[in-house]
Amino acid sequence: MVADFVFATAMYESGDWESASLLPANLIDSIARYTSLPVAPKGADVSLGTDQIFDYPFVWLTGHLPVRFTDAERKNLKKYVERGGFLMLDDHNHDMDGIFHKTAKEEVERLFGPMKTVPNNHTIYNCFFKFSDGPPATSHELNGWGDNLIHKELHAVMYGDRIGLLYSNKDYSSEWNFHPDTKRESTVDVTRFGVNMIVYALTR
Amino acid sequence: MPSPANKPVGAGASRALAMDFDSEEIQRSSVRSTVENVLRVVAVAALVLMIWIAFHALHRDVDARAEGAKIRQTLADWSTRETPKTGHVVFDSLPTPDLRDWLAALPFAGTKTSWEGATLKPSGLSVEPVADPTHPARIWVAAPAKSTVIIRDSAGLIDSVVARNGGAVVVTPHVNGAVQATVNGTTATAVMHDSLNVKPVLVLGIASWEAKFITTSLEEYGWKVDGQYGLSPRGGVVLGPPAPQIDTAHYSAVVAVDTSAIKHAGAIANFVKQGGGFIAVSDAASLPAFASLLPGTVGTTSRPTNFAVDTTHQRVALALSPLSQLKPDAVPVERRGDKVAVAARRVGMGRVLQVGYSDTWRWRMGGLNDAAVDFRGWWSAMVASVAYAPRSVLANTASVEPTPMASLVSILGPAEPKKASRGNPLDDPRFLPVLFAIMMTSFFLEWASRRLRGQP
Amino acid sequence: MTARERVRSTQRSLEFVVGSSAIFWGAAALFAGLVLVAVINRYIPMASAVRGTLPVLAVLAGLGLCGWMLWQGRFAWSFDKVALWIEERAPELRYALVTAIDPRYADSVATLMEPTVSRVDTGVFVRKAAQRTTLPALAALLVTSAIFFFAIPKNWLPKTSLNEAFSGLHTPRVIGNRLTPLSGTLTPPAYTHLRTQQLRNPSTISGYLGSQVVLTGHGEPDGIKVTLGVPNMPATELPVTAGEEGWRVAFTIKDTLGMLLKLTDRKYQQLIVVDPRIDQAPEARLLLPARDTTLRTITGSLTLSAEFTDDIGLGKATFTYIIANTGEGDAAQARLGTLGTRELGGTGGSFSLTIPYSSLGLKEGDQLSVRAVILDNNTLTGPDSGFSETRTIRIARKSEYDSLSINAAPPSADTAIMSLRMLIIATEKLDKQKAKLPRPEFVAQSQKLAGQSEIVRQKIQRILDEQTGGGEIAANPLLTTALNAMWEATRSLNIAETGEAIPQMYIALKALKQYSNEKKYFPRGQLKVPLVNIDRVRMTGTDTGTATPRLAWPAVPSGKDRLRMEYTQAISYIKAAPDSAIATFTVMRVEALKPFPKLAAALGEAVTAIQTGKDATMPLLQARRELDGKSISVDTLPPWSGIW
Repeated sequence: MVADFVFATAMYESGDWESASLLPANLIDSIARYTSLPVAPKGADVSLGTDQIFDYPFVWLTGHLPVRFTDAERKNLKKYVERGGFLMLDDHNHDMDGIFHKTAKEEVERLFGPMKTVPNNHTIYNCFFKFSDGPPATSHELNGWGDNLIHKELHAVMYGDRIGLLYSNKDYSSEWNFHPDTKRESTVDVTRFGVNMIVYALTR
Repeated sequence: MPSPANKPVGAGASRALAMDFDSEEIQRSSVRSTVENVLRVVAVAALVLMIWIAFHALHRDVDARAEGAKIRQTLADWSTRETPKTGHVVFDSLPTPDLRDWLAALPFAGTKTSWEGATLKPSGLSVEPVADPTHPARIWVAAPAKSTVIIRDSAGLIDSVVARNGGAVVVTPHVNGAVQATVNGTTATAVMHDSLNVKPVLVLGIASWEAKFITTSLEEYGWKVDGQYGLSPRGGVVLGPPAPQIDTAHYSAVVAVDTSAIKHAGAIANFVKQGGGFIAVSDAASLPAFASLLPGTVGTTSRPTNFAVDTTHQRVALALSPLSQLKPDAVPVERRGDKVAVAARRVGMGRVLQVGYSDTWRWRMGGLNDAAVDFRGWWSAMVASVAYAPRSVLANTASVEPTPMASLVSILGPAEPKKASRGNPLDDPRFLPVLFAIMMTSFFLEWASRRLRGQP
Repeated sequence: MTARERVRSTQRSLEFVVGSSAIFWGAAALFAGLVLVAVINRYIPMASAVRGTLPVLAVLAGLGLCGWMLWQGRFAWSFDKVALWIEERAPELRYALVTAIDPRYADSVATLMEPTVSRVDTGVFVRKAAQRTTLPALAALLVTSAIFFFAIPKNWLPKTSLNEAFSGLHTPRVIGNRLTPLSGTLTPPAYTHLRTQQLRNPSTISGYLGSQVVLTGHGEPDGIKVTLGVPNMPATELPVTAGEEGWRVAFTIKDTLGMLLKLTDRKYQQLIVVDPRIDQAPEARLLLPARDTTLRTITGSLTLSAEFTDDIGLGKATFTYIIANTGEGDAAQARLGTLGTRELGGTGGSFSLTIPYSSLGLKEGDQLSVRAVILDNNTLTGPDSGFSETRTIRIARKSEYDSLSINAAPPSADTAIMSLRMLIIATEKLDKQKAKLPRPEFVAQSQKLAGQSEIVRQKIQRILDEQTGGGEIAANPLLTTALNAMWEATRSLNIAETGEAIPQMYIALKALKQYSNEKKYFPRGQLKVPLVNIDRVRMTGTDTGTATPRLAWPAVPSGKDRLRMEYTQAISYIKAAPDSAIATFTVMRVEALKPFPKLAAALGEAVTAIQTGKDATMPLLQARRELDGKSISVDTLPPWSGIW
């Protein structure tokens, strides 16, 4: 049987990696709703500093606190992205002056150099659901929380056109951090962009 | 001898003395004369013998022999000065083509030839293209066991192997010009006679890590890849044409990753029979729909392990469903211990590989060192081993000698070991001057003795 | 004509004859001397100072002979002696001429002598004298001057100003290769405090960015061209000037890419690889705190200690901190700062300090992250920085007291790791003394370490037993690896094979560290996560997504295609034109220096082998493998042609 897709959350030593604990279940639910992909019903928490991380080519990493990777985490992150893994790094503070953004950006750019802006017509915005204006805004952005900005673009570590690490200031961790059953109450499923991320990771 | 007491006195005594003296003289003269006669006979005998030897040399059957480093010079002598009736050549290394052809031509000039070469070892060389977008070459060398095979081309040394069982095979990324393989001092040369037109590879599976990384790795290597990655009943991600035509006009090989390939089972079977290549991995390796094509059946899957430091073959860490009940014409290609991990089979004009590993992508992501490059190379080699690729003949005017020993036997006939003959002493050229010296000495002594006697 | 007039006339002629003879003989001697000097200079080695004086001596000889000849003929300038000279040649005069010119007898008998005097033709005597002296002198001059001008090459003459004065034709000197020998200096940038290196016939110039390179050679600078640039790109021509002993060129290593320095002197050429060394970033290692901690109360002090290294020189070391708190909401607040700074210097150093926690203004829920930061002293391109790992000290909230392990004892694996580290140090120390210690003593100490090794092995066994629940679940392969390795190490130490024990200990250490790392995370309470009922929700989404086609990815370029072609071409003429092959390999080496250092190294070895006449097969094979990739070989004839 084809191995199930397992939604993995990266554990790292320096921060509150588990701060969006409901997000995995929410996206697992979305994958099951819109695709026929075999998916594990529960996510996995995977240590970024161990070789475990390489068994999960899609990983979500978020937090509020400063990001200071250990040497092992740094080494693994570089290898992971270079070999074809997809890591989604989301600022749970939604604050460009915030400590998560500053430290996470420093860590990423120390490893990979300056990140590139993902053009709003990139494949990730139309590989399954169509987002013609680029990354969908979150309610935190719309409500003026955090840095009170609506970030029009995402940034990424890219190899040619391939995204290896996707960086977001838009706080999707807050946006999608709710019980999946709550979707029944909504007319628009805000997690659809998460489905795009997973479809992109699985097929590109 | 008269004693002084018996010495006659007077003229008679003188006469007696003279008579006595004359008889001694006569006796000496007689002995000397005999000696002279003997010398005369010896001289004449020596002369007769010399004449006989000269005639004998003119008519004898010369049994000439050439060995080792002197062969070329000896052949030159046979061709110009001596023209022996038969010539036997003992090779200590395989002759160059010109020497071999020269020897082959000698019978037409009146010298029957034979040869032997106990130290010569047979070898053979063949160079063929690999069905691979980067155009490597596969070099086959036939060589005796334990012999060292050194392979080079015009760009220098390629590799060396100690042949274990009948020869060696080397796959090298590039060859330039003619390839030479030297085995025990014998060098065979060959060139690639054709090139292959590689077509795209089709990957069939649902959107999964295995399908993704196989596709990505083959593309990174240089293959053109088409793919169908199922996502939902409404459709999936397509790479290439939305409805691929699975035939040898469009594809070199098809890789089936999981059960979603079942809808193409019929097309794949026909494709393989036409000459196409098929690889079944993970779930596809156990699909009943492909059973008639596959080499064996899949067993219980073992759990994957970590990619530990001490492992030389990283695939040891992959989950494996060992292949068993192999069909009689199946070839185990890769093993893990006593378990068959990959098996191959020819079906019709095509080739099939059944891969017992699951989630091979784990090697690319988590393997050690240059795992991504090694994974890419492995998958590409597997596809190349089954890929259908029509051949185009290359125009090649280089002179080659791929099987030097076989060519030697074919041109000169089989070897005929022959012992070198001891030789007749009369054939020894040093004998003539000795005879001449004996003759002249005898004549001189005879003449001197005669003259000193006062005889003419 | 009177007698006096006759004598005067004769005197004038004699003056000419004597003077011209002296001059001709002097000049002949001069030319003869110069010829001799030229021959001596050509065939007899001598000091240049001596050589320079020879032409002067020749001149002096000529002048001397001229002077002597004049002295010998000085009578011609005496009226009376001229008269006597005439009398000597015309005895029939019987001193009539001398009497006739004597002023005492001017008024009395002078006129009586005139008829006698007039009968003598003094011109004959003068002509004879000229034939005897002047003509031979003239002939000698003609001969010696002809020899000097036509038979002696002018470059035989040693250099003096006279040489130029006398040489009629300028014969050019043959100038050889001015690019050999080559010498020079490489002066690293000031901030490195490294010494200037001397260069002698370099094939590679390797120096830090900012290094000044000066190359010098013999001969005039005219006609020498020097360029510096990246291969296959336009190169910059460097000015070649006159130096103290020849020509000189200077440049600065500015680019991080490898460059080719090409020197050309007419048909001669030399290629030099310029390999820029990059100042590496410094490294920092945080020693204290040794691990992350959680504090119940904000008391006590924080001790920070770090060590730093750099390839050239350390600059400023700092400890930085971030104090963050998630607060009661969803956003974190943070403060950043530094905790002390020190200038280090040298290539290695350390920095420690202790600060009370109370000085940091910490409160419940705060997370203090500290790390060490080091700058190097690169003043040329700006200092590079190095960062240590971060240690985190959390201040527990009261609500977390029950769920947190506060300052818990280190896990068992850490204890085993510490013991193993000490054992490795002791074993390595003993191994180094193997040659010096008597065998019985060495064996005794090794067996003592075997005892300690056995203790470590038993510790690992206990950890394994704990992990497997006494065999209920499968053993962690890392622990199994560590256990097996320590078994081997103990066995080797028991038989005093310390060299075999050490690698096994390192295998065990690595496995234990990896195992220990897997255990390190911070479970901030076990949160309940919902389990998705996949079957219930499968394909129930109302929004329908449509997958878009995927585009093909391009092949990963090796970047070596052009290098491969150049290599193949160079190999094809390596025998016929080795200099061209060497030049091609040198250019390839420059191109490969940074992107493909192993290829560059192999090409460098190949060039050296070819230049020194050694066998270049192995370095060329290595270069080929770096370009093409390794070949795969099988030592049999397999039934399936696919091999990997």
